Amino acid sequence: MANPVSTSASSRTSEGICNIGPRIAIRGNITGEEDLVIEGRVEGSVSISGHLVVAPGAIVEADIEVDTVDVHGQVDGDIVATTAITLHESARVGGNLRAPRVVLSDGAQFKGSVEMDVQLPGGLNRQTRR
Amino acid sequence: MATTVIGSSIVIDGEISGEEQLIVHGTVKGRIAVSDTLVVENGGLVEATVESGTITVNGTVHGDIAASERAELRPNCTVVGDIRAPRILIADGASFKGNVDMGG
Amino acid sequence: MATTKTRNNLPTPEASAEVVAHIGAGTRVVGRVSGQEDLRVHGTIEGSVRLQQTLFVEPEGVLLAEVIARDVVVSGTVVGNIHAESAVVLTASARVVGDIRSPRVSVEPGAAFRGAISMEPVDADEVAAEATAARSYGVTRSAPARALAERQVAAPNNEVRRSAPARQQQAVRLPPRRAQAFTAAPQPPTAPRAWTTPAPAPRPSPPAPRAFQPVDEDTIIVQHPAIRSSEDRPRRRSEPLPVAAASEPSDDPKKLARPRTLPRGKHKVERVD
Repeated sequence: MANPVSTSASSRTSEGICNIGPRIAIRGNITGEEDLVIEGRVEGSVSISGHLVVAPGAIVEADIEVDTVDVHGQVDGDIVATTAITLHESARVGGNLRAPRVVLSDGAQFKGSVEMDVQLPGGLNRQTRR
Repeated sequence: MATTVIGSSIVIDGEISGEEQLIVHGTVKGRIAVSDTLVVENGGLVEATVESGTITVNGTVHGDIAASERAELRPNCTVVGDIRAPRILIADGASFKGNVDMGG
Repeated sequence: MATTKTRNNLPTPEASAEVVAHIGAGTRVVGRVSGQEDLRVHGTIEGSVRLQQTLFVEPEGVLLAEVIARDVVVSGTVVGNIHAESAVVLTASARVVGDIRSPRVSVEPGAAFRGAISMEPVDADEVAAEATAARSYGVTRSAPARALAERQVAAPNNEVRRSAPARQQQAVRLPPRRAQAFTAAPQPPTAPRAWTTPAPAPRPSPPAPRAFQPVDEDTIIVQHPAIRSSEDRPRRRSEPLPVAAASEPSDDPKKLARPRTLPRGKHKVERVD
């Protein structure tokens, strides 16, 4: 193989946004280290160490692991983020969210569990159910 | 027409199908079936069976290519696999190993 | 309804400035709280809350309870499931552990939440049942209930006063009491009692004259013993909610000496000394 594939930070910026268009369907695993915008359909898994945007109209049936994600479309699968998860108004998410910060905008539809670090005032932890 | 760009640090393992232009800077393993244009940029690696309308290769492709319109191998590209297209262009400097079928 | 909705019709913490029911910061309510108007919680509630309007949990409020309301705006701490008919808003200072069930949920940046969210339409029957339960408090549903209603109602027996002074920590306002049957001396909701309970000792060991007999599913309002005297009269009579008595040995208000600990979430009365 002539060309080393992985990552080169330098070439990363040269192409601009990495984008999966609305009429593309990917079935499989996506991994990478740069920001990604999904406008089409992805089935499988997504593991990006960067910022992921699920555009309105996108359908992602995959478990997602990212640093940050902005969801405007549909996601069926768990989302794990190291920084923040934001569900915007047009988001339709079914799955579990796990991140230090989760923001659910009004209008977003979500079904599943949310796990953030919750610091309860002292003395309450014993009563915490979870 | 929207363009799908697969960045250089992205690795996709699976199938890609669609009707728009696809530009690969990263790695794709599996299968690609795009009805429009596929461009494998320099630095891109495709280990897949490719079907598209037009395919332009600047990077590396390991796998069979089937283009319904045209296949173009630019300088410094590397292709290992069979090519089937009505029109083929292999530029000087390209590295190619495989069969060519222009029967359409 | 008093709440003013803004921002896409979501309730905001500032809404409903004239909110009537208010649980102050030093108050701790253990038991069930229910009512038909907005409620702002600055103190602690343990047990369950059922409102037909909006529940505001202020930043210093702590709710260790199951919540069923029309809207819930959380700026404080909630440990327990939240079930809303309309919307749930978690503001930046919210800390919630529990499941949320509501057609609309908004989690603002800064909120901390752990639990499941379900936005499916609330089961109609479930809601109806809850609503009925809440409403029926005021309706003559049972002696105890009535009695409780009485209590809630202003002594002069009239309908519940709408705006309670902030200090008044009336937890809930029951619908105009119906049966005067028990005149158990309506808890002087009207009386501007400062229920400001310092709430120092959460569980006053000793005689905690219980304010009312917690009738099953009725509201319990904690009062400061200091006020007790004035309330005494109501209490005495109210006590007896016979039915309530059924579950708990009705005690003579005067004797409420022993702190009684009921299973969490159940009628539990306690006085904060």
